[in-house]
Amino acid sequence: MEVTINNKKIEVPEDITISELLKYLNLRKKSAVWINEKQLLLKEYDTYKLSENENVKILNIIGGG
Amino acid sequence: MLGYQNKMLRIDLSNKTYSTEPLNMDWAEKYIGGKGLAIKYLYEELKPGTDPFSEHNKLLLMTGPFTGTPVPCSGKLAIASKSPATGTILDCSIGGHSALKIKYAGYDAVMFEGKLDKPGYILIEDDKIEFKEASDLWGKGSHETETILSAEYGKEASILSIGPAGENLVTMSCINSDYYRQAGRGGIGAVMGSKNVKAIVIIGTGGVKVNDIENTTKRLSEILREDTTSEENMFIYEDGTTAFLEACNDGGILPKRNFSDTTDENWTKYNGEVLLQYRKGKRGCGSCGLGCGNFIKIGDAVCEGPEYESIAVAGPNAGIEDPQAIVKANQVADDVGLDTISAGDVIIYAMEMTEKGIYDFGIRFGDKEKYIEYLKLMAKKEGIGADLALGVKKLSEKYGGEDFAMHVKGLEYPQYEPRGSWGMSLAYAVSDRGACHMRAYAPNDEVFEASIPPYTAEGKGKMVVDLAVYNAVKFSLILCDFWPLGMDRMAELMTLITGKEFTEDDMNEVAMRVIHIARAFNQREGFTRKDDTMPKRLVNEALKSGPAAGQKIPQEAFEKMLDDYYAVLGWNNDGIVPDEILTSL
Repeated sequence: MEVTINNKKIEVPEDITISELLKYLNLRKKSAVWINEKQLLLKEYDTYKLSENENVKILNIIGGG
Repeated sequence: MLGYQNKMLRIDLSNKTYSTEPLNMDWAEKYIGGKGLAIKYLYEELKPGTDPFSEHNKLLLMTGPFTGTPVPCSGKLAIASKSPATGTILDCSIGGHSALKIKYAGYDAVMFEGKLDKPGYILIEDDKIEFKEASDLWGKGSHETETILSAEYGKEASILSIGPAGENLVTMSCINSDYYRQAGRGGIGAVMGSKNVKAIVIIGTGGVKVNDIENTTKRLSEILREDTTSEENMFIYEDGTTAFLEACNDGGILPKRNFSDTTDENWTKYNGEVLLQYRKGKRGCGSCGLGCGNFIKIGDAVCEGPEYESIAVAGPNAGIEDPQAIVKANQVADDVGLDTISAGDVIIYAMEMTEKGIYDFGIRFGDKEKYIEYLKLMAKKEGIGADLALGVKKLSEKYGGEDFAMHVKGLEYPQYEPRGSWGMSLAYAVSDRGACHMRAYAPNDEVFEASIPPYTAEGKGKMVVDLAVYNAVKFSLILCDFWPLGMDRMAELMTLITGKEFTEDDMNEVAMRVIHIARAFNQREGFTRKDDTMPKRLVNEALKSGPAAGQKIPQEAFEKMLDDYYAVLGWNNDGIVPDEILTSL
């Protein structure tokens, strides 16, 4: 299925969880994640399953600004 | 060790002489460079009680072993001194290209001592050092100064300069480079001004030797591709730190109206989506892999940025929603040489004082024209600016409003509201240079990735130590904070560049030395637990809006965090570093 990740359309497996997505994309498992502009808590990463066309934002803000 | 030039340049401003000496490589092994090695040198060379504005204070430019190499994000320079704002140790990091030029000129570090008898600038051109007259530059903004000196010395010259704020010894003045990069906090620009140094021009034409260049270059390319420019880091290229606005607003830690509340319902008027419509160009520092800089131009307002801190303080925290005014405030602060955070905090404190009728500073929330005008007055110490230049701590002692005076040790608060991220109140309190978000950064753990509950004291002492350990190493390697590389990677890079084996444990040991010696410096100046404080507002007033509504930080919770933090570091309950640690530094 197709989802948008950081403004790019990407094909990912059906029913993929956020934890699996981060692994699939080879990203850090503790990255901050927003789904459809709503922030997801780390404890939800194993259970939240992505749906077709969802908008995902993945950031790794560790300081500065 | 390779990666170093093994040389320090020492410049005696009083006698207009200079000398070179070997870098102390025993210290370099223990403190690496950047923050750590700079603090070690100043700890050894500055007498306790030194007046920050006296000729006995020193100004130290410190690179690191990666500076001038292809290690990603290694273009920053540490600038250190004793702070005139706080009386603590002060180390800042500045982007741009000056660090590379110092290294290419053949030096790991440049130590400025004494004071010029009249305004001047220093030319460092490889092994040629010249003391130049600067009476025609004195009084000019940093931007014009840099333009004049660039025209004279060419684009290969890198320039560090101060604006009128530094000349006038405003204790929130910064050092500028590449027009829009700053060593911003703690009045480092005023130290340079107190030495009558308007600018430092650096031209370096040499190189840096690294270990096994063929394999090192190959491995660095892999690291750049796989770890630096990976998907979750590229927001910093695409959006810069404007991306932090959404994260902070969503998380309830974007402050508004002098930290009286959080979460601005009108944030979409000045957010990244709005600002980036006006982007005219991109830029990164030397050896950068991420390129965070965005040139924004709205009408007659232009700057590189504004970054998160500058947007938050001149935006919601000042009750201003006009993106052009936010950019203009950033542009003016950079030019006159003021730290956008501290100068902004002073103005928003003055706004609240006026609105509450405690003292009329003639400015209220939302008054964008006066915000910009007051920055200029502060830099010149003219009119109301002479008072405002005192900073929030001294102003509140003089006029009141101590309940909402947002500072620690005299350094004004950064723009992450601790009632939505309790660990941040501890991080600000124990930071070695007063309230600083760059020593331990709690919002990621507590709010963004949200792996640790934000509204509790439990576990926060250990969390803040862990975060401080990470940053102590990163800023001693003098890497950019936007690359979230692991400690194992930092050890790998040290091994790659220097040719000497470094492990993660070695890096952790470096971090502990750096944290201890910074505290030891401050301890020698009389700082103890009594100075590790949080503003009364955080204890007495609950937030009203956003995800953290209802939150305030009980004093006993704060004290528990302090107890835990000291205990993890092996300090006593008064925050004192014991003798057995001091003798090992």
